[in-house]
Amino acid sequence: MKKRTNIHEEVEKTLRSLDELEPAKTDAFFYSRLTARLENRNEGRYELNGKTEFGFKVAVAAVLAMVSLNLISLIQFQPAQTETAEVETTTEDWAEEFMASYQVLDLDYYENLEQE
Amino acid sequence: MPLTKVQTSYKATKRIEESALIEQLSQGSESAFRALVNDYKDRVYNTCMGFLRNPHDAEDVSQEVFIEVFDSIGDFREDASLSTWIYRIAVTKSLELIRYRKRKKRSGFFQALNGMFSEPDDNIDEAEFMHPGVELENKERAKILFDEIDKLTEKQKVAFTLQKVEGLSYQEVADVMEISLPAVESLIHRAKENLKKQLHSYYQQNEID
Repeated sequence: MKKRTNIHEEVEKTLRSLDELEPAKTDAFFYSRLTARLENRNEGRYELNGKTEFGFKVAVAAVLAMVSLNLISLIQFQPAQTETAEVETTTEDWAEEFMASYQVLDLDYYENLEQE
Repeated sequence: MPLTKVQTSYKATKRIEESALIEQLSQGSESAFRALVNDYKDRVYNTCMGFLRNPHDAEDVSQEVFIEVFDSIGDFREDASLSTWIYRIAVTKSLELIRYRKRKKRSGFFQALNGMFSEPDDNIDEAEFMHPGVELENKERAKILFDEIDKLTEKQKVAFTLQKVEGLSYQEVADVMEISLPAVESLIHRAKENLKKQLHSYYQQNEID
């Protein structure tokens, strides 16, 4: 019984322990620290902006370089393909001429020979 | 002049002064910002201390509160008073830090890693810290009470802390929390009931001679 009363009293005292609480206060230099933090933040922001701007410029330059390289390759590649085609055509023509002159592909060669 | 008329006139004057201060702050006036900080710094710091119970965190969050005020004064629409708005930011920022700390505690592995690499100052034992405004003879009891307040639901904790630690009226608490006056009364009543139960259980476990 006594123990229960003690607990009840202690609970009440504990609940009242914040009744006369004095407010916590900052020191006189709070404003100086705050403005220093604001200035640091602004400097950081400018630096970050500078870096971002630089990064963006580099990215744009890289993309332009890639596009230019692709275009150059494309332009260089197309005539090369035409030349190869021309070469191939020329080779075929020459082979046909060669074969015609030596009658390599004359399937009636033996028939013609017998008739002769 | 009747008291109510005096009070109304005082409130109106204060409102005009506040509007002028907000106008100056919107225009980026440094003297207005200094005046605002000097006027509110202790109230903001005390509110943050009530929630965080750590002087470094309270200082840090108080600075963040004023930075937020500095950044978003242009968005302030004067629906509430300036003090209500500032208290609201202080409560939100303090709760954000508490939630962040809880998440950090849950991830034990990362906490262990953080403990290995962080500065010793980061590991201040919050349980050992006591609010500087507590009277010497009440220190032990206040420590127990603060520990039990931490176990309350977030809304009960906010209402109880604003009323008990910061000394706001029920109406001011209602304005800060954006809830009705009866809701605040109910929250504080339930907070007190829960604290009584928790303290009872605490003292039963830690027997008193």
